[in-house]
Amino acid sequence: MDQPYELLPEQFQINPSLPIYEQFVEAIQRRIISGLIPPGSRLPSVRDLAAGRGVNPTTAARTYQELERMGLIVTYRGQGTFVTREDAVIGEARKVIMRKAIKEFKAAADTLGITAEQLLEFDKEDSNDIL
Amino acid sequence: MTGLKTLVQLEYSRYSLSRQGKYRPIVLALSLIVLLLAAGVFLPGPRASERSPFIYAVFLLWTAAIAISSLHMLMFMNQSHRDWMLSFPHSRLKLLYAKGISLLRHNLNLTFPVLAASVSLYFISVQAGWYQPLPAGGLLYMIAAYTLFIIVSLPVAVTLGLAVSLLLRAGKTALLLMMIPYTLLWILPAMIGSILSISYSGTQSLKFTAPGYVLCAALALCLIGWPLCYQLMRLIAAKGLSVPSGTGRSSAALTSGRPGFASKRSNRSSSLTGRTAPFIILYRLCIRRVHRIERHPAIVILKLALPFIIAAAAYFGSSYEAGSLAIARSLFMLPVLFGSVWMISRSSIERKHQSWWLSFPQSRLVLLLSGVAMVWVTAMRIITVLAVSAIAGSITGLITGRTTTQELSYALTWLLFSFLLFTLSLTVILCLLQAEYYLLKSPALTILMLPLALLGPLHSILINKFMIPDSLPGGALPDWSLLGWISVIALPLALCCLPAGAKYYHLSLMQPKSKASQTKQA
Amino acid sequence: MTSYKLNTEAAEPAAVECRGLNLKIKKKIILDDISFDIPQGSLTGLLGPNGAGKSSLLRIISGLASPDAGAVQIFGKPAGVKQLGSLSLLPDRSSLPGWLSVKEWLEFACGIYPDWDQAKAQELQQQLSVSGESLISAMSRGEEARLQLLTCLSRKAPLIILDEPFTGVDLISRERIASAVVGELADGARTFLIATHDIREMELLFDRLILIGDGRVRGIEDVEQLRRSGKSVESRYREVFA
Repeated sequence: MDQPYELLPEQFQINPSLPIYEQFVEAIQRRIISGLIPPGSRLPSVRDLAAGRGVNPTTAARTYQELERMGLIVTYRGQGTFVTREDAVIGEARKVIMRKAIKEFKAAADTLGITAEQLLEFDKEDSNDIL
Repeated sequence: MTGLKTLVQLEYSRYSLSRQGKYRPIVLALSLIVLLLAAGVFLPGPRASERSPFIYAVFLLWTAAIAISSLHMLMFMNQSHRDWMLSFPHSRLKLLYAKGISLLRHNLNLTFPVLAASVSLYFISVQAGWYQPLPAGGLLYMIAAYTLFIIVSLPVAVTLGLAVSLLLRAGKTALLLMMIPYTLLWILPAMIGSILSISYSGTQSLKFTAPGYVLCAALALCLIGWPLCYQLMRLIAAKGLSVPSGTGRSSAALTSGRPGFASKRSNRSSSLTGRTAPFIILYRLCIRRVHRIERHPAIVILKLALPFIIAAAAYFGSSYEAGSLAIARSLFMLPVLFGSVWMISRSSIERKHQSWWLSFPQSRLVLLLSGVAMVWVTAMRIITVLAVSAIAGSITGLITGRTTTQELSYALTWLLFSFLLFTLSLTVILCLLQAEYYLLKSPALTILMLPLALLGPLHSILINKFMIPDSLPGGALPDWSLLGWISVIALPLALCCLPAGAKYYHLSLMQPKSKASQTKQA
Repeated sequence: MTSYKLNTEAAEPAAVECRGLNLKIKKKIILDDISFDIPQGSLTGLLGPNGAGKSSLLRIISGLASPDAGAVQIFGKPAGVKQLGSLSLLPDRSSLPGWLSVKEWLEFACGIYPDWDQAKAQELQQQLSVSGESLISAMSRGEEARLQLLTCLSRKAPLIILDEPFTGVDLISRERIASAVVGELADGARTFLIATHDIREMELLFDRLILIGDGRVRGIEDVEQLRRSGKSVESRYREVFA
């Protein structure tokens, strides 16, 4: 079965100083939410994921465990692992990531001594200037 | 037991000739037969009686079996596939049996041409009228008896050869105790042979070579020797096949050595290397290995003990003529043999260093010569020590009044003669052996390696025939002119081999087998 | 946190259990009181500088050599020649019988190893691209290393010990070897112990590290925990040995 998508981008860089499964979970989660991996897609086996990325199979297994716990993927015995078709779950996960992004955005504004609104305002004026 | 069968096949395939071409075994067998026949017709020993071709066949096969199996064992310990083989999931005894059985098969392969040569020699001798033909039944009975004896003795010889690994693992004192009897095993036939040839006054004088006695000996060997070998195999499997726990194979252990010691030596040598000729430096590099081996306690003790043994032999021997002659004949035989065997096996032992060695910027001739010089000097050191201790022994005999001045001068003359003779033969043999590399040039030439390699073990027979014969009239003095002629003829020839070998020295890097198979594939 | 396979194996005997190993050669201490466990199903890296005693240790574990003091247990049984059936060793700086062709060797191997898996051997031959006709002694180092690994992995032995599988091996062969190891490990039935210098090639694979230097254990690490504290295998190695 050919997969029309990639689970992880070809040039995905692993940072060896951080837990690898967390990096995998984060990246795959984003790709599911953004629709790069469509709902209902079949995921590669743990073995193929590990062999393809040259990581320990327990890392790959743990990645899937974590994604499954979040409800983003579902394993059907004897058939394989699939991306969930439940939009609600994906939407929920998207909200989590969005909250995280906003938090980061606010933190970035905070380091500049301005509010998030001011930062957005600046962006609007700035892009107007360029146009 | 299927595992054993595969292991035997694996071991056997190592030296299997049929892997190197269809006709290779036949060609080699035929050339071996021709060579043995030539030696048999040429030399007096094997044609003395109708039994002697077969007696010599027994001797030859015994020594060959011990030599092949012990060399195999010694080399196995340094081979790069050792760890793989030892990690096969089979008991050590099974691995050892696989070795033994495959070596036995190789030796049986060798037995056929040797026996064929013996039978042919018998018929040639009968044709030539050297002795009366036996009746057909008697001949068959004799051949059967000797064949049986050979077949029974081969497993014993192979086991004894494999037992060399016990010596490698033995403690220092045990090693010393075992070393001498073990070496005697090798030359056992030569010793019996010389006893036989001494007592060969009449053709039929020796009862114990009669077929009936040989059959009894075979039976005895079967009943006593085989059970002993069975036990010995178990012992070898338990003790001899272990791996040193250290880093590498034993050669690596030898070269790595103790760091403190090495740095001390290199400090000394660095002051020496300033502006010395490349040959000297290379020679020192070679000889360092010998020095390291010499530091082994067993060899130190041997070095201390040997002069006394030789001196004692000379002390007792030089008081009568036969004794002096026997000393002259046999004293230097082993060092020359040792030198030639070392020279032959050097290229395979040191294959690992060979590419480094050949990448040195010195000329090939210098590289080759430094290796030859190492072997020559080491053998000569042994020869000189032996000669000096023999002389000391003889002179002690004079002082204590055991020998007369006349006897002493007789003994010393022969000793000096044999010293020069063996020095000459060592030099000639070592140089001739360098042609080895030239012969690697083509597969046809490599067949010539066989007589060349046999030169080392056989030189003493030639020497004893021509130079120091058994049947000397009383008080005969050595024929010095013969010595001169030999050096005039043989030395230039031998020296020619040096540049020839040096030119093709690099061929020693190629593995002949892989080359053969590549051409086959092409 | 989900329950994790690594932590639930306490009931089974460890794949390898070393207790107080000591070894001296010519008065030089090679191994000094080495003790550690390797749980089943793990991939443990044995790391350390040259001359740290890795090869000696692996020889002792595989039963080819014996220590001066201490004991090794393989799956709860004392190490020795009898345990060679349950472990598959790739010895350091060693080579397969050079006078054979690959095909011949694989035929022999099939008879020699009772636990040989012919189908696996063929599969690995494809995966590692080892051609059958070439003579072993005429192979390049990378090719021979791949053949040696193939020999190791085509057995069903539950413990696989690789001593420097990458020495002198080119990049592509290294990647092939690493990915073959991963494929084997995925079934979870096998335990790997790998001594190597090529940390970068292997660091994503290890789940445990044993660092030895000068014959002593300098650290036993859980790689996941190392990463949680923001360290990579390489940085930990530098920390210990630099």
